[in-house]
Amino acid sequence: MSSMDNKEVVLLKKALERQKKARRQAERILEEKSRELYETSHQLKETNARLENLLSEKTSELEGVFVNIVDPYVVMDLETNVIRMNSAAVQFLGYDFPNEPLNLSTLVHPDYKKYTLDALKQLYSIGTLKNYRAKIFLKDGSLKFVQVNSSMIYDKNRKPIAAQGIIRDITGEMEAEEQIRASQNRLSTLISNLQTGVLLESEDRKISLTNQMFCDLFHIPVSPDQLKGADCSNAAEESKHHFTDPEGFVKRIEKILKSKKLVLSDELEMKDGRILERDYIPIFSDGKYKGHLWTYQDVTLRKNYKKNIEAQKEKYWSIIANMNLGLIEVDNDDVIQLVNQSFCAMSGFSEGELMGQKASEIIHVDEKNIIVEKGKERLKGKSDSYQVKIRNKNGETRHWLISGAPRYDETGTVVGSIGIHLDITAQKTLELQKEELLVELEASNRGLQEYAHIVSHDLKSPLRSISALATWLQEDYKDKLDDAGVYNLQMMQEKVEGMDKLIDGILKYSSINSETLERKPVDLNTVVNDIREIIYIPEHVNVIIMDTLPTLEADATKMHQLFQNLIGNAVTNIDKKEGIVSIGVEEKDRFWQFYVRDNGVGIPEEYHEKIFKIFQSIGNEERSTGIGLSIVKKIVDLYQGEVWLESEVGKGTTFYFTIKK
Amino acid sequence: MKGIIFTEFLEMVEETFGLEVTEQIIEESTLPSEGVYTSVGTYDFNEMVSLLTQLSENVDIPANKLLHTFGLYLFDSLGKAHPEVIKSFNSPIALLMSIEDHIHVHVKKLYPDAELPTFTIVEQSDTSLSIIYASSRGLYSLAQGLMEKCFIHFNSSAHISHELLKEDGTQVKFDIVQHG
Repeated sequence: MSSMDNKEVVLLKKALERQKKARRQAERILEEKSRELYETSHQLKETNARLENLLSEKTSELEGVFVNIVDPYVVMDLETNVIRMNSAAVQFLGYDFPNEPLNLSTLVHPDYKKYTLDALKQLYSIGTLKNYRAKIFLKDGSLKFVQVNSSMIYDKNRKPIAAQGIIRDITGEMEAEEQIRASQNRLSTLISNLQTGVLLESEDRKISLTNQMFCDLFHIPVSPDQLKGADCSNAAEESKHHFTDPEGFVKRIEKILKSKKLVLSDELEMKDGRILERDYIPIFSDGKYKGHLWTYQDVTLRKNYKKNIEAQKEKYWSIIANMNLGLIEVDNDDVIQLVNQSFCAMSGFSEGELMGQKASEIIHVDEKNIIVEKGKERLKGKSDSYQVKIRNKNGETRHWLISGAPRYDETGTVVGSIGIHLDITAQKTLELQKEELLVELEASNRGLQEYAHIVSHDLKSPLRSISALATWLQEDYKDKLDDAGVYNLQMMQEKVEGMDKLIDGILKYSSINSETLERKPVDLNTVVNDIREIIYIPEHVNVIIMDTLPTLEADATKMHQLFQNLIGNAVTNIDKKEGIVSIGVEEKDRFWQFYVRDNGVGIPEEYHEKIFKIFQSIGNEERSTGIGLSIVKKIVDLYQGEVWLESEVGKGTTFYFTIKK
Repeated sequence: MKGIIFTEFLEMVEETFGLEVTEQIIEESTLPSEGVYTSVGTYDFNEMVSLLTQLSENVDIPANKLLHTFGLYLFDSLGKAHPEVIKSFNSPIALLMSIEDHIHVHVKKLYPDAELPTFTIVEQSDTSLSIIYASSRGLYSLAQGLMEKCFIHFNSSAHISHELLKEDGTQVKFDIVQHG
């Protein structure tokens, strides 16, 4: 080897030595770094764990501490003073915290004070309080329903220092709950007052709900509330004795319960005669059987109603069939639907001949239009009575009084008419006879009047002759006649005068009738004054008008006759030294009542009626014709009044009469 | 000073001046580390000063010229050691602009104790850059060599002029203008 080579080897060896050292140094450095790294990571783990502990401690302690949450969040001390609250709480409660110190207990509504105290005790002892619900007043005075979930905050020694809570405004929810409660109340009130017995059973056959009607139907002596929760599994067996078919009742219930299908209107006959209608309504929620509802209704009345109606119809029909009135029912086309026995007898047709025929065609009515018209009236719902003349099957003419009324169906539509017929042929005949008689009577009355005129006229002329002859006899043979002859002639004159008056009276009497009545105002005071002038009134008799007499709408002559006859009568009958005839009047509702009173001889009671009849007179007064009171009676009758008298023999007489206003 | 600077320096000396010169400057520098360096270690900066001074005397080349040459050499070495860093850039200017915010951050991850110079960008455009270099070591020539080699690496070239802001070279302004 050359020295050059040696030198290079030495250099390389040195360089190699340096490289080895460098490698070892590098390895040492790396090991050192590794160790450092290990220690660092170990430390990091420890720190991490510590931090985690710290964090979890913080988390558990500050459970629900959500300063940034949306809901109102409040931290309070143990005296309920607010320590902290978030902006949502500030906004909700309305207090400008922390500028405005706030004690939460002051917000609580008085009704919730005690509840709140209890809740706080629970919070302090247990550490949490869930679902605290109370009404609180906000700053603006408004009332809110709030729900608070809260928990205690402890220091590191687990000593309570504060409490925190999240407030939720549940006013809306509570209002909704309130509404639901109210509607539940309404519903339960409704059910309890229902006229249907209700029994709601749960799926395990316990009573969930029943009502008073149910208890009443089955004579259960306890209140519906007490029945709640009672077991129904043996109820059918226990209550079967109420029913006429106990075993059938039990079997039916078992079948219904097994099938769990809706059953409506089961009819149950009870031993006490009642009939119940029962519905079974199974209740499913989301396809799951939840129980069932029984409802019972007493339908006894409804059931019996139909029977009653049938019975009533029967009853009335037998009355109708046997009554003496003909009954016929027709439809709107006048086709006969029904007739009774009497109608058949009246018409002469048998029931078979009448049914299904047109009434107006088979019965021959003289005036067909009447039937058509009445038919129209019936369609309008009108009922009335009318008379018709018909010919029956035998061709005999009969008079019927018909009372017709429309026939309605159950919806109130007119479906025809019903007629009740009374055969009034006999009455009608009588009526006709009466009418004929009246006509005859009028004619004969008229004839009589004419006759009276003629007779009186004819009678009067021989009377005048007799009177004239008697006067001549008396004058011509004045000297030849002795006193008895003169007296007899005078008597003859008087009798002739009496006869003349009698004839006048008859004439007057017969001429009094309504046809000739005038109606003009008549002042009765004037009438009486005139009479006082005309008739002879002796010195010792005074005729006095007691009350001012009325002015009547009447015939002046008749009034004159009326008063003259009564006053004349009264004056004539005076037998006292001082005679008084008083005339008075009393106004009544519908008439005037007059009287003419004297203090004369009086009239025995047996004559009180007789004296008003024509030609009846009592006593032998020459001047009395016996016609005067008949005329009075006839005139009073004309004015639809009455005349009567009160009298005591020896004391006087009062004639009363009335004149219709 | 990071070990990689020493190992690469000696590598360059060996390649450029031979094993004998390398051995000589190690021996003449009387180093506490005895010239045993590893890239993961950290060594006294004065050892570098001694090695550089001995080399300069031995080969009669000024120290700054040697540092400039070492800069050119070091860029490639660092590129071989950490190719991913250079690959993440597509231009030399982009790379230079990211020294402070990107590359040195990664260096600090691996070597938390590294004493790194600061590069403060004072002006920039697409094709030019003004940077102020600041380091108590005053190795601005090394920095210039590195920068020049960077342009070469990206097949580009630039005119890089420097201005000593402090006479001892601890603060130097570089004006870099890319050609073409």
